[in-house]
Amino acid sequence: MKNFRYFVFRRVFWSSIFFLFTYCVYNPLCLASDSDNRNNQLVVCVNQPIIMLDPAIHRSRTIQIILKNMLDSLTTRDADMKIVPQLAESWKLIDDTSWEFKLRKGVKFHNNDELTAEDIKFSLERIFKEGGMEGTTSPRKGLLGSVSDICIADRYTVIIKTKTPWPILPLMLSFHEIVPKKYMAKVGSEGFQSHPVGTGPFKFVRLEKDQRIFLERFENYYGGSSAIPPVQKPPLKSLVFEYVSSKSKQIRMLKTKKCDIISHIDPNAVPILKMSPQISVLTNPATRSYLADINCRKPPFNDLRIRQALNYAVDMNKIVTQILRGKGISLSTVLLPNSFGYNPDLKPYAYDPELSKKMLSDAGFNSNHTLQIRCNKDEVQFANILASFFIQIGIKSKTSVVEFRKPSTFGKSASWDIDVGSWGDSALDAVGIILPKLQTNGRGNYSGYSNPKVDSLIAKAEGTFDLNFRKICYQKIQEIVYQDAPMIFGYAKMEFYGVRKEVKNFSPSGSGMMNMHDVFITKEVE
Amino acid sequence: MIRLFNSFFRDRSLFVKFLVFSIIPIVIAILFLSFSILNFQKQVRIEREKERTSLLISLTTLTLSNEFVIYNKGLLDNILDDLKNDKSFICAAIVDLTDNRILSHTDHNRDGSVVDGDHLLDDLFEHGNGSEVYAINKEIIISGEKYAGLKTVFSLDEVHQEIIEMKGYFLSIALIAVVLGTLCLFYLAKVITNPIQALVNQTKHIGSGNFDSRVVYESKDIIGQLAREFNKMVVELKHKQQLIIDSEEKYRDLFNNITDFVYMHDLDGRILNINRLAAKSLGYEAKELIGRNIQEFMSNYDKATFIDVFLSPIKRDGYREGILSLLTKEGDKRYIEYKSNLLRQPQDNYYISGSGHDITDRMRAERELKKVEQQLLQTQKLETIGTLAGGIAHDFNNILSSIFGYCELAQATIDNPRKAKRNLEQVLKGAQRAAELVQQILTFSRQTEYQKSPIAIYLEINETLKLIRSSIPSTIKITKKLRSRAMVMADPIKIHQLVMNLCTNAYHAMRKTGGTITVSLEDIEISKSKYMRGGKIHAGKYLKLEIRDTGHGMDEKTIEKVFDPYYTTKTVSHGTGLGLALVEAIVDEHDSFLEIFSKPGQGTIFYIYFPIIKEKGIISTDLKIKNDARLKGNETIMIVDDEKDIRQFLKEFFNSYGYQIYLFENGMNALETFKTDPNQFDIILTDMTMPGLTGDKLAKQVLKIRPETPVILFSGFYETMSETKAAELGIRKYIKKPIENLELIAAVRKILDGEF
Repeated sequence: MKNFRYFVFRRVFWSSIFFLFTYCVYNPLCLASDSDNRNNQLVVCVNQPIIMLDPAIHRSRTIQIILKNMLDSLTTRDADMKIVPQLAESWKLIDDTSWEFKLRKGVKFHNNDELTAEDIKFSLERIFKEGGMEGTTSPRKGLLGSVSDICIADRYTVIIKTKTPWPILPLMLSFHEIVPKKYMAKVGSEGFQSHPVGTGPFKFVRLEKDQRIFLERFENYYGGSSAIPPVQKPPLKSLVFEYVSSKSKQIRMLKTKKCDIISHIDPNAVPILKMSPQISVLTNPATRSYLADINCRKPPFNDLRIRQALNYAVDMNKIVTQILRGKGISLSTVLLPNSFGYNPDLKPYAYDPELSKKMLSDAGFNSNHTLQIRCNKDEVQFANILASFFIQIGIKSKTSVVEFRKPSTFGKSASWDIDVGSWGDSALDAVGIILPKLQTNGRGNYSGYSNPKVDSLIAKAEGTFDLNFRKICYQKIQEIVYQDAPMIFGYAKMEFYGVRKEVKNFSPSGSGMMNMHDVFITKEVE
Repeated sequence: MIRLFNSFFRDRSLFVKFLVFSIIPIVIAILFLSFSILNFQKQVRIEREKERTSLLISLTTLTLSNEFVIYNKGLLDNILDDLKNDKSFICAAIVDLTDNRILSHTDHNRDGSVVDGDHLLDDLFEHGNGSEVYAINKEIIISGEKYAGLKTVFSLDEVHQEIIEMKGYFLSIALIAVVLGTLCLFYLAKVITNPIQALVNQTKHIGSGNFDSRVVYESKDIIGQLAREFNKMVVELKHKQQLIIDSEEKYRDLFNNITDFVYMHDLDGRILNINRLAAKSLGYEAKELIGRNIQEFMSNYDKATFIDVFLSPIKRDGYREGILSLLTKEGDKRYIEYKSNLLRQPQDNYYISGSGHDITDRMRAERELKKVEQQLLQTQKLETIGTLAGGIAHDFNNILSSIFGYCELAQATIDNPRKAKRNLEQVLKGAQRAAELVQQILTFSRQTEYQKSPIAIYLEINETLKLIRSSIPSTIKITKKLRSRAMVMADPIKIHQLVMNLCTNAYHAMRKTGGTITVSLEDIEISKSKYMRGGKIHAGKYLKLEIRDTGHGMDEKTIEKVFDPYYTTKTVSHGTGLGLALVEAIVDEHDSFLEIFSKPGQGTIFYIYFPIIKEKGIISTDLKIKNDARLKGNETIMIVDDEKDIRQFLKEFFNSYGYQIYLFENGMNALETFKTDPNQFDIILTDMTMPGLTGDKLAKQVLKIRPETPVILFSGFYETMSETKAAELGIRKYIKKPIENLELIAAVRKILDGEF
């Protein structure tokens, strides 16, 4: 009896201790470092892992956002998406293929090195030069495809030469962050990735690989673009980007004050966020096209009829109205309606399953063939929806999820038939999506599409300062691509941001960027 | 309730009872069964419904537990809307557990509102609109974290509706079952009760004696079997009954032809049965006697004592035997020696049964014999008196001489009252002696019924010896040694006779020579039983009477013969020879024993042993008057006597005590006077023997008129009257003459004072 009592007492005692322990670990109120005590720290949830923090490497939208807050570029865009100087003080066109850029003086890197023309030359050459990245070529080379040379005029002046006249150079330079030459030379790309250094408003503090990155205010910040007031040091003392793959968890964190901003919110979750008075939902026009590349080099998908038939098989309007709750549009090709060069005359493929079946039948498509669909995690839903439409026309499919699309997995011998994905066009210019997705060997051209007419029209458009001609070229390209149907043209959805109301002065960029320069946190919610 | 139930069913036929007692349990059973099944079904259906909805909600929860779903408002709405398709569904809500906000509600107006977790259900229950509802709550957990709660409310109305429908169904089935069951039972009841009714009818036939009747029911079922067995039983019964009839006839013959009395009567004496010959012996047919009371065939005297003497003892003891006298139809008396037993009938009724034997003839013979014996005894007594007469006459002469002498002296000294009184006292003394002598002779000569009572016999012996003394010559000396005062059961007269005989014999033995008669009385204790004349004497206390003479004695041969009747050693003039035979008879009657010792020339000794009942004699119940004043009174007394002297004497005597006396010389006059006013006399004293109306008849008449009138009867003739007879007549006191004055007045006083 005594033993039993002792046993019970011991059980109760240890249970209580365990309970208190777990309570303290999991209950934010119990420990310090709560949101209230975050000491002017802002937490942003991001959707992708935090890796490859080198601006010359291929990047996700998440990495782009993080880099943009650490590393400034020569140019940037204001709220109206107009190109304005950032590290550049000014620029001018010397001739059709030569641009002179004057640098802002006294700009310091986070390691206190001064920004000079050397750093500009070094940073851009890493991208456009063959083997510019310590022997390897940057995958972002295409973004500076027309640049042929960079000359240093003086310590604060660089001359950028292009092969052909390239009117979008200031725009394109906004995509390329400047890195310190000396530091990069010293630590190399890998060293840089583990401790990036830039001229941006926030400097690197610590990286918990894949999970979160801690930044802090750069006290010697020059204040940012003079065209975008206020020019100042960031009010936030600390900035954290945290990778949370689950959208639901992000919402949960936002609701429970464990983060302050979330992005890429499913339109279906918007009504739920709007229920909470502590949360504002901000919207932005779409900057990303959802597409399903068809492996054009692999039979039978090299048959135009089959590709068109697959486009007729999917009711994109239904997806928009039902899945996106109307917060989006179906696309006629790859270009977003708010992008420069958009062809408004093209209407998206109509939903016509009977026609689709007929075309497939005419093309001799083996109905027993199981479509191999691949996608990454973010597009699983889209992939499944497509699969359900394929079932309607009597085609089975199998979806597999991949983390990365390795270059070796493209082409004729690839195992996949359809690659479901999206392409962000933060440039909001035809160049941001047509070049990578439709140009022969474009960096995002997973379908292996190649049409000499398209390539020619791209070249013509890039080589002229005549904006109207460019627009005509791009619209023509869209007509051709519409017919060629190298992919199932998908939809674009409005972008939604969930922001806690304590967070002030945050407005998502039209390019999809999240600039934290001017953001601050009030203690009290109005 | 039970009484009502009983009264209802008492007069119902078996058919109705069978129907009612079969249908009621069946109806109850069907109702109970239906209720049980319904209840069970209800429970089962509710359980099943709850399981079903629980599964539904589990599936829904599974769908919701997906990060793509939980914050997808459209999907949430769709999922909840899908639930609406369930017939039992009432409402549901998905609540975000982080802020208790309703993410989706079937009532979309409530979307986004914050709820108090504890009262959410109340809120949901309101949607039930009063129907029976229940809730199913599930937590939506994604990656180990609780995101939301799914709270649903379902109604049980559907189940209740089903149960109601089922009730109707069951009721119909139950109703049909009851109706069918009733019809079946009705038929069954008919099938069972009809043959039974037939059996009953047949039984009635058979009951009325018709054993040839048979139950007709040809069936192999149990009723048919019963009918067959019943028929067999009737045959058997008929056979048995014949046997009984035969046996009864035999018994009846035996009963009726028995010559003795065989009878049964109830506890009041009413005759229940009597055999034919017995009735005939009384001059009746048996059936004339049955139902009548035995007392009707008795003399008045026997009637009066029937209950006390016969019925009460048999009720008490269960057995009685004795002799009863019954009157025949012609009025003759028959004596029946009976033995009766108290018997009990099965119904606890008691009755008396017995047998009797007519002993009238024997009784008569015995009575004749007794009469002869008494006559002999009287003769013997007279002989004795004859023997004694000389002596007695001598005595009387002496007394008379003295009376004459003193009377003359008194006359001569009449002037001297003191002398005269002394002479008269001597006269009185002489008269008293004469009276005593007469008393003794009368005592000896009276012929009365033999009556034993506890007495101290020395008194009797004294009296007897006085008489003997005065009747035998003075050459014979009488010595008394009466030392014992013990009580024995004895008849004083017989004792008197016994002593008289033995002393007379002794006198005769010494008449020539003279001698001494010694009479002694003493207590002895016999320690061992031994044989004497007349049988074995047991150990105990005895009173030993010894009478011894100094006469010529007897040899052994003579001793053996002396007790034979009519044997005598005396000459014819001196005796009848009955003396010692009588002595032996008296000894026998007293359960006593006698011894005789004698040798020629040495005298004879008789020892007689009486069993003692008490050590000492009791004081005589006779009145002992101590205080004359207590005897005085002023009441009115009627005295009736045909002798003038006695009348006169009694008047003077009672007057001297203050009483008022009216004298009558015969009964007729007395009765006439009495009739004029029955209350004028407080007491009546009458002589028995009177010409015309005798004393007892007068008493009877008087008591008829006024039963409470006290009557004292005195008589000098013991034969015609006894105390018992007097008591039967209602006479208060019977006094033997000669009357002791004081005894008489004391008796009068006591009666008047109500002490008798």
